Amino acid sequence: MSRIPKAFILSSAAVLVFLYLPVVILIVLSFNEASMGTEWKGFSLRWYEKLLSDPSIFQAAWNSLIIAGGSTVVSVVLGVGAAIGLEWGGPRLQWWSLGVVLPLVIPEILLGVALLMVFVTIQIPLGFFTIMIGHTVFGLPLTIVLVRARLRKLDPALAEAARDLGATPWRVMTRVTLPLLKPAMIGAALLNFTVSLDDFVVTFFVAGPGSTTLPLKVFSMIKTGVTPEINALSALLVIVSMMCVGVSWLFQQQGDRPGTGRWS
Amino acid sequence: MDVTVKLHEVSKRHGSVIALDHVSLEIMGGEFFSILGPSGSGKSTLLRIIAGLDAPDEGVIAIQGRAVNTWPPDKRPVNLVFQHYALFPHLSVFDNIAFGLRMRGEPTRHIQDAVGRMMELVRLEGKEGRYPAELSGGEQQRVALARALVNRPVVVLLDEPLAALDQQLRQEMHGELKRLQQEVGSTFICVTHQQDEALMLSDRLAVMSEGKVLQVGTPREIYQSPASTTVATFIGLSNAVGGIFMGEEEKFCWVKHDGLPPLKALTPFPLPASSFVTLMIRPERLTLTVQPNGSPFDNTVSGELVNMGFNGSEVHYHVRLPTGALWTVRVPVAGEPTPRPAVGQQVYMQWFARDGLILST
Amino acid sequence: MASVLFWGACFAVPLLVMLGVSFLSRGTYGGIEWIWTGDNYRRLADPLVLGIFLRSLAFALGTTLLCGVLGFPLAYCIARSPRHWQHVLLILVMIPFWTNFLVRTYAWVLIFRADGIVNGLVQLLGQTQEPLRLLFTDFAVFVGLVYGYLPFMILPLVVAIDRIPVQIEEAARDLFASRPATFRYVVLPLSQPGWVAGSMLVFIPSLGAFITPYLLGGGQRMMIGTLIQQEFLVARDWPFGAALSFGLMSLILFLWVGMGRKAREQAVL
Repeated sequence: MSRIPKAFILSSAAVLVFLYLPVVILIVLSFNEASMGTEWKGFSLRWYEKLLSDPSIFQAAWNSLIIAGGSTVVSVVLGVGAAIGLEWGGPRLQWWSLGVVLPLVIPEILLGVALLMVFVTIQIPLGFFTIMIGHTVFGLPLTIVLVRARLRKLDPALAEAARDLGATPWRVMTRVTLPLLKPAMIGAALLNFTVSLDDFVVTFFVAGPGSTTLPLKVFSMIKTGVTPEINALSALLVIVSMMCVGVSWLFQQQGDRPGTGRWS
Repeated sequence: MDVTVKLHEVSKRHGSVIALDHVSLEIMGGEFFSILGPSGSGKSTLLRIIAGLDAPDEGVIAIQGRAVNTWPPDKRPVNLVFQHYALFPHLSVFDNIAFGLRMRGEPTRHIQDAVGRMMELVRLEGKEGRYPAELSGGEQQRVALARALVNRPVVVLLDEPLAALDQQLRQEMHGELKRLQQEVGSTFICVTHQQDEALMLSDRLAVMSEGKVLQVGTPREIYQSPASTTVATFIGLSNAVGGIFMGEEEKFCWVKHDGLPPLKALTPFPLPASSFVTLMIRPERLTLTVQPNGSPFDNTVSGELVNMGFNGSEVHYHVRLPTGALWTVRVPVAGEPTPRPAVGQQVYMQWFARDGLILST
Repeated sequence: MASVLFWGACFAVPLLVMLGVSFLSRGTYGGIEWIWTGDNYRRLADPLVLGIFLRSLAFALGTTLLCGVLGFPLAYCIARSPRHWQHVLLILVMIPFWTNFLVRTYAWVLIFRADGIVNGLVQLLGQTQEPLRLLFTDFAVFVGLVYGYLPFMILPLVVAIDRIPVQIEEAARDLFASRPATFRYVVLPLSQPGWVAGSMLVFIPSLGAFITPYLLGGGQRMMIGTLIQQEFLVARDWPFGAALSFGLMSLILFLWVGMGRKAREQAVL
């Protein structure tokens, strides 16, 4: 009886087409020979060749990776500690739990301009460092949410059993709790990394000269005019995202359901 | 009495598993009918098919003489009491019970009255405003019952209605279910894996195993003359010996099994000599002693007492026979053997020929 | 402890700085002058600015509604599919969710451009008058917003519907509820946590959206996000930009508080 109404299946299919059609069009056009317009002029890899012969693309990709790596490490290290503290800290920390996720809840542009003002006011030069901080501001709560969800599912009897078997609190932490949190930590790290790689809005406001990331590069290319090179770059980014989903999916399988967050 | 629910050659597969294998049943109006079987015997599927929640692959389901195969569940005059009750967590007790009437568009005045009367009937007065999460298991169960009964369905289906309750509540609910059925007058079809429940509650019952109906009859018929060893085992006859039928002598016959003396039993039906049969003896018909006394029993078998337990009114003994089989003996506390046997001791089990039951294998 | 410090330094302080700046005056050459004033907030009442706020609110509301309408059937299908299918479908929804937002919005530029896909099709069909103007319209912004945030509605709904036991739906059907009635009286109310969370996740970012109106709406079709960006990076009127930001922030906090605690917690987790 758990049959799903036909109308639902049809409209679901339509929604999936809606979700994928633009991306598919984008990828198809990236192989289009034509340099103007969307008319099909034959299959070609020339835009990829042109793209890959541009050193500034590689520079941007490298910048993105460094920033993503840095902010991921900081977010996960600080986030796991904070998650454990919040989860075991009792009800007086309840307001903190709400405050901590606020950066995830307000529109990104607010984070961007607020950080920009502070950096300029205290005269921190805009660049790698400021972008990394910006990404950590939303990476940290993301980690906290994911790790807390996992913590909540842990059986407290496990830690108690370890205590009962003679482990010190420190050993319980390193030998029992942290290993059990590993899937959530890996999931959070992957999510942080991807979100940081993808982030445009915050980066846009706090980036400085010489710290162009991939999304910034895409943006500046779009601004200077639509060329098929952007299609090629975008298609590559789509494929990278798909691979990220695949990898994180495997880890989520060991952990739990993906949490809901906000990253765009 | 008329046939209310008729199943004709109903089959259902779940993937490669055959849940129902050409099941035919006729259930009479006003009857309390139970379907007894181990889990996975297809009995829940049968209920779901009657309710319209599953569609059969083959066969016909008729309610009050009309084939209802293509009717959706909301059009069938049948209501189901779900195993875990499936109460609507977002609705109060009152709204839960009123749900069916509201969906049928009954006038509000009538709904008020009917729900009120039903709350009284299941003794939930004053709990109208509570939510399912605030009720005890027994109360939830009664809401589930009321929610089905208030619609005055032709048939009420109960899926393991008492499984989630503790022992004492179960006993109470036995009487309660009977009383409710008499008041409402609907046909009840109850699925259970508890043989005592099925025997106690039903006017008639069907025993199911692996998607097939093995036997249909009154509790007495099924208990006293099970049609097969599977039925017998399921009805609580755990003590069995396989042996060779040695021929009759007047109304009695003998069964021979290696390692045991020839055993005397009533001849149930004509059987060729030397055919294989199973002899079954009910646990409560065995007498246990430490020293055998010749009279007046017909059969004596010895074995080693493996363990024993006491449940307040009865003592249960488990005895290992020389053949390796494990038999159960149930003795009321008053009838405990003196001297009391000890675990590991040699004990004797004795019974009358008329208490043994022969089934062809 | 370290994370609390970080949170304070990099989140709370910036917001306070923003609040402070919003009461200062703009310098002649774009800097900040230390003259306290409430002028920036008075300027929020300017019909032009107010209009942009209202437009953004309307866009965000419409996006949320349409995401709900489009998202629910798919979420229901995913939640009620056999396990194997459920995984496949979830991955299908996750992929756009993880794909760069900028890239996904840009794809619509390709579709809506004067020499884009839609106009190409229109021409093929023989409508060879001048190309349809699609890019830089409200319609384009709306489609872009719905497209961008749809997965944020679907995922929480899937979780919420998945938590409703199938038996509850069956019970409703057994109790004479038709299919639509079952949705109306059982599935919708019981999936409420998903609706709340999904609506938040769609409404808030679309209210503050910047990429979508920038790329698909152009200079004329402004939303709060594009206005803020313009004040900061083009007009260099930081105090007014800060006041705008704070207006947006308080609008969101107002809604957030108005939702009540329970809904808040549902939305966060």
